[in-house]
This record gives sequence, C-alpha cells and structure tokens, in this order.
Amino acid sequence: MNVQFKKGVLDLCVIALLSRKDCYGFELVSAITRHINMSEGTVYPLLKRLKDEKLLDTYLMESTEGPPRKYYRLTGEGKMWYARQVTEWREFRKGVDSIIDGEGD
Amino acid sequence: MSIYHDYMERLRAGLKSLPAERREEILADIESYFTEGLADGADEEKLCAMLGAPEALAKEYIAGHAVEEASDNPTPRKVLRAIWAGVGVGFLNLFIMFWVWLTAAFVWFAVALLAVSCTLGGAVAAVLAAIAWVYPAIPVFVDFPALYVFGGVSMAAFGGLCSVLAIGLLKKLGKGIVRYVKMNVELVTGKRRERSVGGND
Repeated sequence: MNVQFKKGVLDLCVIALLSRKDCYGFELVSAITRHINMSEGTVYPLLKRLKDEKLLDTYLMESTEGPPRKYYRLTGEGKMWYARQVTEWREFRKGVDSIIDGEGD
Repeated sequence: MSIYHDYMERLRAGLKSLPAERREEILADIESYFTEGLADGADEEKLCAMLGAPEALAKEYIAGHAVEEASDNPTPRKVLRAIWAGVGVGFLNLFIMFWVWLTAAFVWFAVALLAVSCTLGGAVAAVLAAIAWVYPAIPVFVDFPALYVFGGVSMAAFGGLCSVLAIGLLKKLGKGIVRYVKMNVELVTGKRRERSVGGND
C-alpha cells in the first residue's frame, strides 16, 4: 500500500488509540500493525514528535511482568487536536469517496 | 548474536550522529518495546518486523531531530543537515523544487559577488586615488584624483549596501529552506497544526 497514505494518517491513528486508553509503546505498535501493514518504523519517531508538540505526555507505571512501563497519554491539547482532526478526516474521506464513486458528476 | 542485539546495534550505528543523550533516550524506548513485546508473548523476529528496518527507523529519528534543530536556529550548516536528512527519508520533492532553489542561489551569489567586488574595488580605487591626490608625484594615471576618491568611496558604500542585502537574503533563504523542509515533513506526516500562528516570525 502507498506509504504516503499511511504516514499521512498515522498520527491520527495513534491519537485515536490513545483517546480510548493510555498505552505503552508496544501496545500502540501492535494495535496499529493489526489493522495496517506498517513496516516503515514510524510509530516511535512519531510518538517522540507528538510528545515534543505536547499532544501527548508519558508516565511510568509498574508492570507485573518486568520493569516499569512507559505509558503514553493524551494531553488536553491532544484531545482537542483529535476532535478537530477526526472531523477533518471524515469530511476528507467522504469527499474522496464521492470522487472515486463518481457521485454528483 | 541474537536478532534483538543485531537490531539494537544497527539502530545504534544509525543514530551515531545524534547527541548522546537523545540517542540513549531513543535506544531505551526501543529496548522497552522489545521487553514489553516479549512479555506479551511476541517473538524477536516478529517484533523487529513490526518496527521496520533499524536503518529506516534511525533515519526517521535523525530527520526529525535535524528539522527541530534547524528551525530553532537556522544556521547554514543545520539547514543543510536538515535537507540531507529529509532527502534520506524521501520527504522532499527536491527534484521539482531544485530549479527554484538553484535560481535563488544564483541571485544570492550575484548580489554577494557585487557586494564583494564593489566594496573591495571601490576601496582600492579610493585609496589609490587618494594617494595620487596627496602625492602628485606618484604616477597613478588619473586625471582627477578627487573625482576618483569620491567615486571609489561611493562604490565601496554601494558594495557595503549589497553586503547587508546579501546577508539579509542569506538568512531569508535559510529560513525559507527550513520552512520548506518542515512543510514536506508535515505533508508526509499529515501534521497540519498551525503551530506558529501569531508566533515566532
């Protein structure tokens, strides 16, 4: 599949997952690769960037297996960003679909 | 050597140009990814496949870092590094924009050349003419030394003006390039946040 497609919506995917619950890194990567065939190694650099932009932050939590895990969670700004992006994405998807399906030509 | 160690070594090698602190932070993140994944029952091979090639991962981190650095402080060195890193990740439609940047570079070069030659030429002419003016015995082959002094000084002043312009243009060009690289990163990563509204210009 087109790499540009994936990269374009990957931050939306990551933030959507985090909007439901806080996740550790592997959890995010596996949740995403379950749905999208991602082998471009972009989730971790993306997390770093989103953290730098203060859309998300991290905290450590004890784990039953092994060392404490770093969890990612959305900030207030991240939640606002998500709400805006979802609306934009849905409109965009609708637009593209109606072009592809040739509606209203 | 295990697949995991091989992966980490290759990642480390790919990240060697980053500051140590940043590099260790990234390596620690990826290390915990493996720890978490193994605890969840995935095997090393699958974990590596899910992350993608360590070289690609490293390139992405480096590009992100370079762009961040260059936009904080756009020195020519940092700008070049950001471009280079951007090209490595395949962000830039450099080929299309190549001619635009080439033209900009030529314009800048012309202004800079004008600046240097006018400043130097004007100064030399003015000094020579001044010497000829003060010591008429020295044969400098000018009829009206005073006129040449005046002309030389004006030319040098014009050169100075061009220098100021050239330096200003260089800064603008640097900023423009950084913005362009950033725009590419944003295009590809789908980031469309107006971060600098009313901000850092």
